[in-house]
Amino acid sequence: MKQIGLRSVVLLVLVTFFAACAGFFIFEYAVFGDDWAKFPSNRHLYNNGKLFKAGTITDRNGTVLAQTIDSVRYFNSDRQIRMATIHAVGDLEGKVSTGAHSAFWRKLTGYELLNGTYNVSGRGNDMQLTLDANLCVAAMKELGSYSGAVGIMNYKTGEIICMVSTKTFDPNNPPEDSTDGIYVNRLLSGRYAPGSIFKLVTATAAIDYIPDIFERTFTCERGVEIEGEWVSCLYRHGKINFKDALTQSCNSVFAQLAVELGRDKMTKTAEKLGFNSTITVDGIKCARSSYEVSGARNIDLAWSGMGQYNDIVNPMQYLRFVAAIANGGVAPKPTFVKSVTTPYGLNINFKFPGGGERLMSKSTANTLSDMMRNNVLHNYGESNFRGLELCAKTGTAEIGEQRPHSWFVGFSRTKPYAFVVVAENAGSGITVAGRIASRVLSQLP
Amino acid sequence: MEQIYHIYYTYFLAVSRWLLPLFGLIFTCQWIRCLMALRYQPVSLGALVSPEGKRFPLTAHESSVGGGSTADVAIPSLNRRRKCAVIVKKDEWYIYKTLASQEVKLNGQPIDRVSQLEFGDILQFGDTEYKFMPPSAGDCKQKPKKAQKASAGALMFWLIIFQIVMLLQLLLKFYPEIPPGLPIAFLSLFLIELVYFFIRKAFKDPNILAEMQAFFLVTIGLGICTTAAPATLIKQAAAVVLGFLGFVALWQLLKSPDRAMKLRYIFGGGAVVLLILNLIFGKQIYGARNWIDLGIITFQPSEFVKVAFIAAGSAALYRLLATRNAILFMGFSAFLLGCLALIRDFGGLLIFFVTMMVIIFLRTGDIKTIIAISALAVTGGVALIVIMPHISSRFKVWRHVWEYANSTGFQQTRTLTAAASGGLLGVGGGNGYLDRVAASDTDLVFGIVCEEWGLILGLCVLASFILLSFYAFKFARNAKSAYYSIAVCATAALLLFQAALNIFGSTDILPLTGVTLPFVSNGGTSMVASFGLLSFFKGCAVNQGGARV
Ligand SMILES: [Zn+2]
Repeated sequence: MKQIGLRSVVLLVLVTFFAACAGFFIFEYAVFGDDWAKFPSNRHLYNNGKLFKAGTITDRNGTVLAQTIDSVRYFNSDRQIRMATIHAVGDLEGKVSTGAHSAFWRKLTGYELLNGTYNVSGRGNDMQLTLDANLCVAAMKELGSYSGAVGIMNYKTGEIICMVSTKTFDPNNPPEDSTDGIYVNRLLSGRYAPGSIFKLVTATAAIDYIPDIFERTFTCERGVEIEGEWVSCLYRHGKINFKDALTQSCNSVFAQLAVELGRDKMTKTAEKLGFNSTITVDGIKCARSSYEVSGARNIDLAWSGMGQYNDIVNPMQYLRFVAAIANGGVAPKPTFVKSVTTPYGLNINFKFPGGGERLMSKSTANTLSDMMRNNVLHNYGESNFRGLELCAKTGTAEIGEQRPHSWFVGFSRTKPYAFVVVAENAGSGITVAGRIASRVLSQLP
Repeated sequence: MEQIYHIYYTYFLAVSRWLLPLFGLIFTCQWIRCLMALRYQPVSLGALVSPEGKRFPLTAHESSVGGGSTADVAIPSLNRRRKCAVIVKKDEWYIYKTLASQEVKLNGQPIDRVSQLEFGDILQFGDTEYKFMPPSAGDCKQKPKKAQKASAGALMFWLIIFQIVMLLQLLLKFYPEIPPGLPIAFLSLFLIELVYFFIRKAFKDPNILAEMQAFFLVTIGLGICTTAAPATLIKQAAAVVLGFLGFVALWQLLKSPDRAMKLRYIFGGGAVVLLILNLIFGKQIYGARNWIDLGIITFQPSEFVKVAFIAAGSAALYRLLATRNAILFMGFSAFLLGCLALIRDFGGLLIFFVTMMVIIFLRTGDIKTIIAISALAVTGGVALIVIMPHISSRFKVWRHVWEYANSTGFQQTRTLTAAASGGLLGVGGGNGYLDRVAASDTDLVFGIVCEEWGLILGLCVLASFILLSFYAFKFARNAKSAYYSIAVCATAALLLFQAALNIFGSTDILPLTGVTLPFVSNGGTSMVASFGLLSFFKGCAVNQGGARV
């Protein structure tokens, strides 16, 4: 019997196998549980593949953007509001993956490990966004037929009050074909050639690394020769100083500066400002801005200093950068969620203070700010932005044979808002993006 | 009126979804305490005394004699690899000769096969003579008693409380359309377990732990049946009653090791006949052709074959040592496995295979054979997977269920979604959606448990099968006959492996094979057979040697 007793250890081998499977299941449950629950066939939360068990989503003024009545989810009754906010609010099938319905699925449905999809009240948590629906509508109208994005963020608090992406769609009448990237939020997920708005990055590097930058004068012969190759400029600026070079957006100056600064300093500055890394908005990963000159010749480096070559910018990342200039060098933590309220009235959207990140020194920020102010005063026209004390920079990103992307970025000194406007294949920066910004900003609260 | 009930229900659900996991956990903990409190100490039954006066106490009812350290009576001069005799205590003492090449003499006369033994007899192994003597006080050191209290009454109490809360929640949920089977099923379960509890109390039976675990699983099974297939509740309750009666009958039948040994051939023959009938008359339901339709009822013969297989495969020690290899048993197993392959019951095939391996190992301890058979099986299995399209598609989806969410991964993805939706506490009985998936009340029960009753109770179900294995492990070494040891270990292995295939198959940890979860899945045959298997636990528990501490 002793022998049989010893052999019964074989049971423990099976128990070990069983326990290993159990452990693995518990691990998967803990890690992937919410992905399992977030399955459109889950009838606790979805009806015919459409989310219904979620709280009410409102904008900053209390306008209802989406709500559930008797197990059916409704968007705002106004078509313009639906279309202007759909990328922030998100559709019900998870096609707009960066929208609240998808990205904040857990908060909206109230799903958590302990209770699963159960809650006593039978409804999810309410969510107030920081967006201003009317401003979003205005921005959408101004973008008109262009594809592009408008983002406006409070540079002190990081609250995004306008987040519009076009082409857009009406969730109540979703289009049959989904080309044109209608489900992409271009503010968060767009990646564009930046053109001259990138000169702000080169300028930051120049201010930081070249002590006598403001004493120097440069020469523009309607372009400049870099190692035997020609970098052209729009005008013959002749003798020009650094400050005017930004105002006139002189390519010759920034080409020379980029080459003088070199790959390392340019890359270091760009990365400090948010290039080559992923920024997040309420946990949503934005597309990466990239500045990559490791294998570049000097002529490429020169072009990279004015936003050509292979520079890529994500509008949200740039908005954060511009907001940092406005905010004395500190980039606020961007967010578009104001509060999340449980059915018992408890706000569970905890925000930790001090989420900002310093991107540049305060003096650099102030210098850049003054230069951008100068741009508006001496080039873009103060009359277009009355009462805002606007500081800005345009961009016209050449992309091969197509019409250039039109950019306009900046901020107001009287109201705490920074903005980014990009319109795809729209033409020059000031005439399209600048005009859109002018009209939208005039409606700032 | 209905609205008032609905409000009652809402409040009751909010509270009881906390209570049920809590009571489930208390039940499980109390069960573990009871298991640990059941302790047996070896008691000397007799002794062999060498000419020098050295005593070899016999503490087991079946004691092997041989040269190696694994023999119960280790006599160094004997063959180290094989045991030459087994001394067995039944009503009288017997000695069985198990090795032809080793002469064993009783009072000077060579033993042919078996001989009765009395105290005072002289046994001669090789050159040395031993006197067979009554036990003496110094044979076994008695360890001091540790007072450990854990009453089966408390266990019963928590089980009943658990069941009442579950029943009330279900009654309120379905009011006013309560399925008539719901009260009937729970009342018959109450009746069985209470009557059984008090009868066993009257018999002073210290160990009803395996039965309690079975009742716990059956309760959860009835909860699932109520939400997934309320029309079958009465049938299921009848299966529980029938299964329970079968359990009592089988355990009484196996009460004496001698009778159990004789019945082995009947069980073996029965298994063969059942599977041949299945081959001839089998009906196909969900892929496998493992159903027989008798007009009034349909049943799955392969479920009963599990019971017969273990009853026929276990053996007492003297038989094991006399026929050291398990050729006959392997032939018998190969026949059963062949039949299962023919009726395309591949889940059953796997379960039988693992059970067979456990039995072969327990009988022979021959790791080489085990490795050889495993290698053969793996080769065959791989070949099968390559050849059979309906199996290879199952393997293709394994660990990739979300890519096939609406085809071959349908059941697994729904199970995972349901399990995650339930959280730790569940959404309440009858509030789930997994019950609408086909065959969910048999194959996906773990998902329904997690969805409606919560992950904590799901883990209690997992623990249940692990604990039954520890139970087998604990009592196997102290049984009065190797027959019970082998039977209980094989049964525990079978239940554990079948549970693994069901639970981890539906949750995509293992490939989905579509086997039932013993005691939980809806299905009469499976329930009756599970109770049949339970009698091997009971057989081992009532045939414990030594003294309870
Ligand atoms: Zn120039």
